[in-house]
Amino acid sequence: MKRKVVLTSNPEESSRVPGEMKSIFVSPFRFYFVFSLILFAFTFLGGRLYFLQVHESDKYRDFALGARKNFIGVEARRGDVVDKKGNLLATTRSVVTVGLDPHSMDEGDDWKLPELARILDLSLEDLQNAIDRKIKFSGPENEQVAKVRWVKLKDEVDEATYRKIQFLRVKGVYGNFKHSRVYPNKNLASHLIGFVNKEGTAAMGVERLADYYLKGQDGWKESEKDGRRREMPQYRSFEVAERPGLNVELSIDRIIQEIVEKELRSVVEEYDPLSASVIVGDPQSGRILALANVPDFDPNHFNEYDLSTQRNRAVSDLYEPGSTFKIVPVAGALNEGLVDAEEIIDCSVSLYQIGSRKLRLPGDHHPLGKISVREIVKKSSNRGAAQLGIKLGPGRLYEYCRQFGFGAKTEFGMGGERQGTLHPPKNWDGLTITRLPMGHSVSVTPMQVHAAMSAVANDGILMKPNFISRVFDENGKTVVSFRPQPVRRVVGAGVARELTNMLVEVVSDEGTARQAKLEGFRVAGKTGTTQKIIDGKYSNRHHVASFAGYFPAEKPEIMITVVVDEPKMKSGRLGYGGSVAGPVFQKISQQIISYLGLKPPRIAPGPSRRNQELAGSVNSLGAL
Amino acid sequence: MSNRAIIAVLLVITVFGAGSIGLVWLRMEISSVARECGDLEDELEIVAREVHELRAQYSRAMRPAALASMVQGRLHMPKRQNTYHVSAEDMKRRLRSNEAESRSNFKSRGEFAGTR
Repeated sequence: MKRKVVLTSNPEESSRVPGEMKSIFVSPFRFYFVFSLILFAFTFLGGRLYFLQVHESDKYRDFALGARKNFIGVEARRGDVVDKKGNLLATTRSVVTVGLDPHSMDEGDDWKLPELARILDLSLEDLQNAIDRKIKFSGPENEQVAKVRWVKLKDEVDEATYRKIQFLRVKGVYGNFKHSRVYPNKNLASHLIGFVNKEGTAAMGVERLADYYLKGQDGWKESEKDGRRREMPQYRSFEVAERPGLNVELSIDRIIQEIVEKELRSVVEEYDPLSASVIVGDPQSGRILALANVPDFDPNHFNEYDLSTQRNRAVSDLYEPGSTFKIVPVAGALNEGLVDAEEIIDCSVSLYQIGSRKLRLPGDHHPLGKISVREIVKKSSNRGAAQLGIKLGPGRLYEYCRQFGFGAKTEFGMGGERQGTLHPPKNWDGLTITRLPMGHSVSVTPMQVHAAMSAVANDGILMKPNFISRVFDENGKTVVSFRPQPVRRVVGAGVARELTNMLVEVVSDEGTARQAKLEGFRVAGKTGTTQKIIDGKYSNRHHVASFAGYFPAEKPEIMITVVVDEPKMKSGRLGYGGSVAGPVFQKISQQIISYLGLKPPRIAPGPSRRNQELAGSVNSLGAL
Repeated sequence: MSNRAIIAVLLVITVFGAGSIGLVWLRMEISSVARECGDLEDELEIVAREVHELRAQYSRAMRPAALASMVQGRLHMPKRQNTYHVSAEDMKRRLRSNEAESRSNFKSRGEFAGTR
């Protein structure tokens, strides 16, 4: 083996071979051992790096992204519901759900806990229990243990209270913002407005009907978060802005609604009925100005009320309309030219002969003898109405019932609306032709009666009842307009006006609705008193009292329907439509006249003089 | 290595270094502006929430039942006899005459001159 000679000035060093140099500092074994260790360590690190970066790269990349990525859903604010004057009926406010992470709580903050409990209106014990709830058991036999990272302390905390909590700076206590629906007017128009339940689902009323417009569209942001879980806006990679819900304007008027509800409360105090409904509307457009039922509920606390209180009885409860239904045979007979207003009908007979058949006619409360069609309406003669029904015949009578909207939904738009019962002539028994004209053998909703009577007030044109005027955006710009919708012409305009004149006589000293009279106004209306069917028979003690009327009769502006189910009368009196529902109509009307400043079309000489005096005094005041 | 090459290398390093530092500075500025924008967004949201809260409170306070309870026994709806119907023309005529009258009165009384 050839040895390499190293030239050096030092004679000792010059005589050594290169390998021998290392042995001066470290032995070859140690050298190779350390070298191997380092090599192994680097190889291990390289392998680990390969394992993490290549083999398991997807898993750890996802993990890192998950830890850093911040996905924030932005809940769209639900639109407002307002009345025709823009008063809020339903709105959305932000509330905070306050909770804590038991594992992030710091013992150094313990002295703040009494103050936190006071702000949240919780007992210190409850708060301590929440802090101690660090683990939870799950699985069929509670064999799985998981850390609890969120314990809810209180729901729906307002923002001002939450700021106080933030000011305390208790580590581990934080809140999540969410939207909460508020109904500032409490029970007012609860059946029309409906409510949104705790899950955020629109459950009934306009909330459900117009949910498509009201709910808006949620947005979201994708960005990164820092170590304190705060969003770093500079790393926002995607952002889809939320679109707030549109607002809905109803045709109802908050003041008229309040007037109606106040009167309904009086009805409850006086008669303690099973239920009562009042509908106020504009007969020419079909717009509803107020709709109220008792019992009602507060949509802010809907879960505290019985389900039956949430039923919109004006569209979902059925009753036999009784005499209010007489407008159908009378209008039909007039429209077909079978009779005129002055034609005499013999109401003293109890049997009506058709060919070989003899039909038994229903009785009247008092014998009326031979009376005109006009008086049949004024005196609400059952026997007279039955004879008009017979003159029309089953086919035409049924057709007029359908034309007036009975036996079909009004398409008012509310969930739970019922169409009522109106059997086709093939299913009638021998008595139906005489009982249907007086409002028996048929069941209707108060809304159907309201729409039918409005058709008479509207020169014979049936309008679709509606209570949404428009949908508008946050700038007040109309997005969708809901215009009045005529359904069909039911009777000729002349017939409708003739019938109105007859109905005006109902609300007179000789008619059945003298308690519905309004000073200075001609009121047209019809009372209804229905015996309820109890145990399969018409009861003499259980009644439904109703009145449907409108004014001014010359140019109807307000149509009111009142239905009181089973009023409890004092001293054994009967709960007639004229004595129970009529006064309710009168009181509501008087207040509406004052509120809207309705002017009678024909002013009587007395009030006119008074108006002149008032005009004079106003003039002199103006001169001061 | 020649002096020229050394200067070129130093120049490249300086340019790239300054550029990198500039980029970092720019990035920090962007972050700062983004953070401020985020804070402003939060403040806007807070104000919007407060406005909504106040509107709800106002509506609750102004609901007819609440107002009626405040004036219970003292105020009622005017009766028909107490209602005077004014036509649009009458109103315009009255407003015009009052306006002219009040202008002259104010002038003579010196309401706006601060003399009272």
